[in-house]
Amino acid sequence: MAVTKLREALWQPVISNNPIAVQILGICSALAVTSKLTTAVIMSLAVIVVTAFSNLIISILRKHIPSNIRLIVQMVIIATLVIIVDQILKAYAFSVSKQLSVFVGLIITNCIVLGRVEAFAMKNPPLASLLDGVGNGLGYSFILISIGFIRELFGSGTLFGFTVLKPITAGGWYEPNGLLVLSPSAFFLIAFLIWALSLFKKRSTH
Amino acid sequence: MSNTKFTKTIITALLLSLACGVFVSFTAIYLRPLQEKNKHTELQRNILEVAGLPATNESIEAIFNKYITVRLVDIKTGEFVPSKNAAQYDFRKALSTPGKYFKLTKKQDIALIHQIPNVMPIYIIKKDNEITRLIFPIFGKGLWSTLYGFLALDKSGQTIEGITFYEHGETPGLGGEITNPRWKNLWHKKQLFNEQGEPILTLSKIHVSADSPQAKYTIDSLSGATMTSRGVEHLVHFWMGENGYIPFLKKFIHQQTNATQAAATNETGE
Repeated sequence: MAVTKLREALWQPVISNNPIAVQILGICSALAVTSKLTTAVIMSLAVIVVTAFSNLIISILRKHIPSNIRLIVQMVIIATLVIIVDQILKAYAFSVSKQLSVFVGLIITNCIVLGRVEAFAMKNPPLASLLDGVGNGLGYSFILISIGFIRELFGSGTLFGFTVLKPITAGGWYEPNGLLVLSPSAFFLIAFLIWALSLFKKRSTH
Repeated sequence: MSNTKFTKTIITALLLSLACGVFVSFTAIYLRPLQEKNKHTELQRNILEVAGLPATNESIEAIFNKYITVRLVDIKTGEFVPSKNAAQYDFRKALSTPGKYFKLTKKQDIALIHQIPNVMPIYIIKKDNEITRLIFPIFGKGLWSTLYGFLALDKSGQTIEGITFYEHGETPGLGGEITNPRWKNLWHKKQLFNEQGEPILTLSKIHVSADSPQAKYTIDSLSGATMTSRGVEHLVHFWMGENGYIPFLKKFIHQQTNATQAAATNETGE
C-alpha cells in the first residue's frame, strides 16, 4: 500500500497529472527556454533539483512552520535553492547559464514549485514529498524536452548543437522553419501536447 | 510550542533567515573564483570575436596572447600610459575608485554614464607584425541596463569591423537582440564619420537601401527595441567622439602614417 502510494507520488505528475499539460502551470519558462535542447535540459535539471529539495525541506519542517508566515517560509526556502542553483550554473555551465539568463532566477516564481510545496509537502512525510517533487520536475522536463527537441530539430536542423538536418544555407537540403525558433511556436506545440495527453487519458479511463 | 504563538513565529523567521543566508553566502563565496574566471574568458572570447580571429583548437587565452596587445590609453590626452600588466587592468574597478575617473557634464554625457575612467584599455590586433584592427571597450545606457561591449575598427580608424556586447540586462528577444549575430553583421564595413569627420553613424527604423548614399552610415535598428537602439547609437557617438577615443585615434593614426612614410623614404633612400 505504502509503496503504491509512493510510486503514484512519483509517476502521476509525469503523464496523467502533468504540471504543464494538465494543470497548465509554468508555461512562461516552457516558451522561453525551449528553442534549443541544451537549454531545455539544463533548465529541466534545475527545476527538478528545486522542486525535489524544496518539497523535502518543507516536508521535514512542516510541523514546525507557523501557519501565519507559512508562505514566506516556503518562498524563502525556494528562493535560497534557486539562488544556489543559479550560482552553480554560473560557475560550471557558464555559456548555458548566459542563454538561460533570467529564467533560472524566475524558477522562484514558477507556480509548480510553490504549488507542490503548499499542496503536497505541507501534508505528507519527507520521502513521499521528495518523490512528488522529483515527479513534478520530471513532468515539467518531459514537456520541456519534447518541445525543445521539436523546436531545435525543425527550427535549426540541429540537436544539442550538432547538425542533423543540414540546412540549405550550409549547402544541405533542409529549409529550417523559422517560426519554430520564436517563442510563439511553443504555444502551438504545448497545445498539441495538451490535446494528445487528454486524449491519452480519456482512452485509458474508458 | 504551538505553531500559532507569536514568539515561535519570530524565532522561526530568524532561524530560517540565518540558515538560508549562510547557505547563500557560502555558495557565493565558494564559487566566486570559478565565476570570475568564466567572466574573464567570456571577455576574451568577445574580443576575439570582434577581432575577427577564428576559433581554432588553441585555447582562447593562447590565441589572445598570440595576436592581441593590450595598451592603456589616457582618455583626455590620447597618449599611451606605460604599464607592465595592462592586461590585468579593470576599467570597471577604476569607475568606482575615487581619483581614477572623472565626471562628465550633462552636455557631454550623451551615453548617460555619468563618469568615465581616466584610463581605458585598448586592444591592438597584429597579424604578421602589421596592425589589422583596433578594439575599443564601449559602454552606455540602454533601456534597463548599462550595455558593455567592444567596437572594432580597421587600422584607419574610420571603418567599423565589428561590434559585440558581452554584458547587458535588456529584455530577452527585444533589446537583448543586440547580441544577435545577424544584427551584429550589419555593422561590418560601416563608416563612423562623414567627410567633415563628424560622427554620423545612425540606427534607423526605416531600412535604407544599399545603393543610397546614406547606406554606409546607417544600420537597421532593432524592431521592438527603440530605446535600446537609441542607447547603442548614443554610446557609439560618445565613445567615437571628442570625449571618447577621438584624441587617441587622431594621435595614433598620425603616428602610423608618419611611421609608414618614414619607412617609405628610408626604402627609396637606399
